[in-house]
Amino acid sequence: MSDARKILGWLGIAIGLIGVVTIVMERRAAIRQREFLAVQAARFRDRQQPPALIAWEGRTFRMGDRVRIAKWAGTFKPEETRHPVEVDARSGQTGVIVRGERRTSTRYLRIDPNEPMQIVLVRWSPQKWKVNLQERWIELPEFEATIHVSHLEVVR
Amino acid sequence: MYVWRVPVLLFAPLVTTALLLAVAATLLAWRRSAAAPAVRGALLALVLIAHLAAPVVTSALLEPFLARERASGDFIHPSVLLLWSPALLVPLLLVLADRLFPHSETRAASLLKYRAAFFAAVLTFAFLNVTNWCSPGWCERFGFPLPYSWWSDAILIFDGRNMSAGNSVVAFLFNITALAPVVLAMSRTFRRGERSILRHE
Repeated sequence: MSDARKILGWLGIAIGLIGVVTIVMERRAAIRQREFLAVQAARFRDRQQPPALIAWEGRTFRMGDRVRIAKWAGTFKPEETRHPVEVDARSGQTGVIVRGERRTSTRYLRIDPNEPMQIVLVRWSPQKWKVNLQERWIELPEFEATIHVSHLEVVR
Repeated sequence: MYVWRVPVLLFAPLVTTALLLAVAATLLAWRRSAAAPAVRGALLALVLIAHLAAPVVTSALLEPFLARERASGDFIHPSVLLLWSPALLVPLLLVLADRLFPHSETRAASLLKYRAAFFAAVLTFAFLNVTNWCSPGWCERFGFPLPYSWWSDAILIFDGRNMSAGNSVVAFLFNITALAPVVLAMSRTFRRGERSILRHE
């Protein structure tokens, strides 16, 4: 067998082996992608049809429950209130639970997708709110904003 | 996601390259000293298997990071070329080492030292070029000695031109060629030593 044929033969074997390894690895990647898409689809369905009941640390919250902030929960931002100032989410403010929401990961905070639902979207009633860092109160119309359920209590 | 200042997607192939280089160079050195054809054949087969295993090793190194990204909603599919890059680069480095520091019976220890220094220089240079010299997460500046890719969170657009981000193919090519004088100087020193030994004999 000539040297050229030998080289071609070895080259063919090398390309074949590279192809086999590549196909096996790509098949594994495709399986992982299918699993990933199934998880994403489940999350999407979950968001479209959130559970009717949210259980958190022994307390339950239902859609339509009237709730009150039990302890200070930071501030509501202008993009939530559609008012140019930040307002305090302080105890006593009331609203109605619209639905549960899942926390999503950000660049700085990784969220376990399997964690129990613990955030709710609340439709806050028209009421007075204290402006953050100021001794000033403003009347805001109804708006919707999310809050962690650990800051809420149900008004019976 | 970074390992110190090196993006994980570049860190994993770099580690695999270092491992494969060490394994392949050692097996080939043993093969050179082995006399039995069966042993020589077996060692060559091991070198080939090590090359075929390289993308699997890179993929395994990347998997914990990719799994975390998937869990948080991002699916990253690393390029096949990225996974195969160590297996493509290592034969090239072995051939270059063979040409720059030719086999010598008279200076076996010195040859080993020079080739190890060559591999270390290439890997160090690659490491310097895949390191983000700015603050990861806020800005990027890749490239040594010249930056070939950069951006900053402090976005500055002036006259329709983004002043805070860019890349340069020329700088990238310069960086690759910048290693050549160092390597050629090492090769020259090695060959000069070899010639002086032969003269004295």
